Amino acid sequence: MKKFLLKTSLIILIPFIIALSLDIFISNILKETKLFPVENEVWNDIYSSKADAELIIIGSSRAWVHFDTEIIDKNLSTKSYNLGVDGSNILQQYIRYKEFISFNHFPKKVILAVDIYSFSNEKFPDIKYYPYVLGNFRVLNHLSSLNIDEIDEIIFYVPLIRYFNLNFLIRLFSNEKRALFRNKNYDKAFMFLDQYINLNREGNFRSKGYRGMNVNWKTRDVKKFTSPIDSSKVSLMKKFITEMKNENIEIIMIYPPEFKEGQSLCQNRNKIISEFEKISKEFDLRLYNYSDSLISERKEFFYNNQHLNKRGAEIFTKDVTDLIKQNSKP
Amino acid sequence: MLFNSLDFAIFLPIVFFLYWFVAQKNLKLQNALIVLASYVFYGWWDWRFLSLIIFSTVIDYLVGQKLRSEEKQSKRKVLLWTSILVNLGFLGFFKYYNFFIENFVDAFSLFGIHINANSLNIILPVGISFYTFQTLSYTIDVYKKKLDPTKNFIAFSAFVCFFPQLVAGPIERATNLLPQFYKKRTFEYNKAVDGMRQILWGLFKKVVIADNCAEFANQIFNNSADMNGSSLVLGAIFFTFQIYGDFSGYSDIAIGTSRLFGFDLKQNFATPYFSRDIAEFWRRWHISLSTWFRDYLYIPLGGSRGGSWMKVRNTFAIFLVSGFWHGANWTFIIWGALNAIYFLPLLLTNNNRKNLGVVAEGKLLPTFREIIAMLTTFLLTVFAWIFFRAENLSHAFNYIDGIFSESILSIPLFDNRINAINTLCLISIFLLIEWFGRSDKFAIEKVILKFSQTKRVFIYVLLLFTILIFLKSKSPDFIYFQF
Repeated sequence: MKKFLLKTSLIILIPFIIALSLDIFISNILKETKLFPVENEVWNDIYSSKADAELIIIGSSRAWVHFDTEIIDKNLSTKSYNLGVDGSNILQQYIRYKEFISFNHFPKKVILAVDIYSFSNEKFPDIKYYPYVLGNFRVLNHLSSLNIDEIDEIIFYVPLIRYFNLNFLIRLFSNEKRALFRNKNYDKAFMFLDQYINLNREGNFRSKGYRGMNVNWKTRDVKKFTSPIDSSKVSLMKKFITEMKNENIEIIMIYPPEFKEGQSLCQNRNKIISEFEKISKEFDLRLYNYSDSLISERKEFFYNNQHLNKRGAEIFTKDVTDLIKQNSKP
Repeated sequence: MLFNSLDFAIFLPIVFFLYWFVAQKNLKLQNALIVLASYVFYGWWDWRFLSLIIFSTVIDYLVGQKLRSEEKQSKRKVLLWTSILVNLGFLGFFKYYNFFIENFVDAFSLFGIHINANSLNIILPVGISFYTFQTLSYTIDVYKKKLDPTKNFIAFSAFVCFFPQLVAGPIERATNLLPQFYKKRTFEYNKAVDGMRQILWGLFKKVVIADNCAEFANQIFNNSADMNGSSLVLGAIFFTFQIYGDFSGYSDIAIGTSRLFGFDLKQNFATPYFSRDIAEFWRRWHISLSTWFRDYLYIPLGGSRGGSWMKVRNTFAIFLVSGFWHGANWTFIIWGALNAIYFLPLLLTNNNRKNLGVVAEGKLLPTFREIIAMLTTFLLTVFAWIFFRAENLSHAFNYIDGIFSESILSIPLFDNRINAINTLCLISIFLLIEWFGRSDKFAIEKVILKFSQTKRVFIYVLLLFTILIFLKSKSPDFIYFQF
C-alpha cells in the first residue's frame, strides 16, 4: 500500500509541481510585460491599491480609449481611474469592479459606459484575467453567486492549462504582427515585437487606466451582425447597479459616441439601447446617449466605427465632463 | 457525480482511504461503506431518486428470499414477474411514458381520432436502465437456479448500487459481482496499479478524444442544414469517435476504480472499430449489454437454433429492443433495425462467428483484405450512428441526404477547422495506441509495460498533462448517462 500511495502521489505531484512552477513563471512575465490583451497595468494598479479614485469609469474598450482621466480630473476637480476592460461584457466589468473594491476604497461616482456588447456571451475568465486567476477564490466566489453558464471554473484550480488555450496565443499577437510573419518579413516582425514589448514595459501604456489612441482611421470590412442580449447579463447589470447604489455611489450611464455610418451594422442596436433606457428609468439614472451627437458624425475623430481616436476622446471627455458638471447635484 | 469532475477527484481518495484504512478488517463495514459511498455518489446528482434504487433493492432482495424457499413453479413465476414488472415498470414510466403517449395520440390522429392525453414533465433518473438490468439479472438467475439467493442484504445493496458502475455500467451479472462482496478483499498492489492505469486511459479517452470530437460533432449535427456534404461526413466520423471515447472511457474508469477497491468487473469494449464484420463489432461493443440481451432475450426466444424465420425474428427482436433500450425515440429503433439488417446476412450464411479472434493477431499490420473488411464495417457503423445522434428521423434523413450530394467533394466548411485537424491527429494517435494494445483488456494495459520504469512514468505524466490541457469545467456529460 505504501509503495502504491508513494508512486501515485509522485505521478500526480510531479506534473502538478512542474505545472505550478511554469504557471508562476509565465504569470509573472505576463504581469510585468504590458502586452495589450492582458491589461496588466490596470490589474497591477488595482492589486497594489494604486487605482484608488473618487470617480471610476467602468466599461469595455469604449471606456478606456474614450474617457481621458487627466481631463476628467481637471474638469471635475476629482481623482479618477478608468477600469475599462478590453472587449468585455458586463460580467467581466463587474468582476473587475469587485476586485477593485477589494483592494481600493469605494468610489463616490461611477461612469458606466455601456455599448452593444454589454449583454453579450463570452467565456469567462478570458485571457485578460489569466495571470490573476489561479487560486483566486475571491473571484470564483463572486462568479458562483451569479449562476452564469459560461464560467470556466477549472482554471482557478488547475495550474497552466489556461495557457494552452490557442486563442490566448493567437490574441497575444495582433493581426498586423501576424501579417508581418505571414509575409516572411521576419526582421521587421521581430523588431516590431521587441519594440512593442520593451516600449510597453518602459512606457506609460494606460495612464490611470486611459490610453488615447493616436491612430488614423482603419478601414475594416465589417458585415452586418446581431449582438446577443443575454438575459442573465441584463439581470447582472441590474444587480451591479443595485450593489453600487447600496454603497451610495452615484451612477451615470453613458453610451459613448459611435461613428454614425457604422451604427446600422449592428442590427439589434436599437433594442440594446432600449434595454439601457429601461434600466436607467428603473434605477433613476442619468443616461447620456452620444449616438446622435455631432462627434459621432465626424469620421476624423474615429479610428474605427466603435472607437474614438485620441483627439476625439479628448473632445468627448471635455464635453461629457461639462455635461456632468452642469447636471451634478448641488 | 461525474468521473471527470473535481468532486470525484476529492470523493475517490476519501472513500479509498476509509475503505483500506478504516474498514479494512471488517468485511461488513467495507460493504456498508460501499453502499454509503454509492448513495452519496448517486445522490450528488439528485438524492430524491435514491428512493428508486432502494426500492428496487428491497423488492429484488425479498423476491430472492422467497424464491429460495418456494418450490412450486407457478408461485416462482409469480415472484419472477413481480420483480420484472416492478423494475420494468419504473423504467417504462420514467423512460418511455411520454414516448408511448405521444405515439399513441399520433397514431389515432391518423384515423381522425383526437385523443386528449398529456405527456408529463418527467426527469429520467440517471443510470436507471443500467441498474434495472443488473438487478433483473439477479432475479432471473435465482429463478433459473443458476445462483443462490443472498441472505446478506448489505452485500446485495452494494451489488445493486456499486458506485463505479452504477450509472453507466458495465452491467454486471450477479453471478460475477455478487460473490465478490462475500469475500474479504485485501489490497493488491498490481491490481491497484493496473486500475490506476485503466482510469488514466479512460480519462484520456473521455477528455481528450470524446470531448474534443463532441465540439465538432455537436456543431455539425446542430447546424446540419447549413453544412456541405464533406462536413457532414466529418461530423458523423467525429460522433463515431465521440461516442466510443465517451462510453468506453467511462467503462475504463469504472473498471479501473473497481480494481482500486479489489473488484473485477467485466470488460465492456474490445477495440470495436477494428472489427472485420458487424457480428464481430457487436461482440466487441458494449459487451455487457450485448451478452445480457443474448442470455436473457435472444436465447430464451430460441436463439439461432430454429429455422431461418426464427433467426430473422430473434435477430430483429434483440436489435430493436437494444435500440429502444438506448432511448425513447424512433431514431434508436431505426439504429437497431439497421444493425439487424447488417447482421442478418452474416447469420443466414453462417458467417457470424467467422472472426472470433483479434485481427492480425501476432502481426504488426493487417492484410489488405482485413483493412477493407475493417473499413467497410467502420463505415457501416458510422452510417448507423447518424440515426443514433440525430434529434429525430427527419433530421437523420436530411443529414444523409446532405451527405449524398455534390458538395461531398468540396472542402469541409465549419468553425474552428484548425482545431478539427488537431482532433483528427489526436484520433490517429489514439487509434495507433489502440492497435498496439488490441489484444489486451485496455489499450495501454500491457503495451506500456514494455518500457522501462522511467519511461513509463514519463508516459503517465504526459498522459496526465494532456488530460489536464483538454479538461474543461463544463465538460459534456457522459452520453450514456441519458440511457
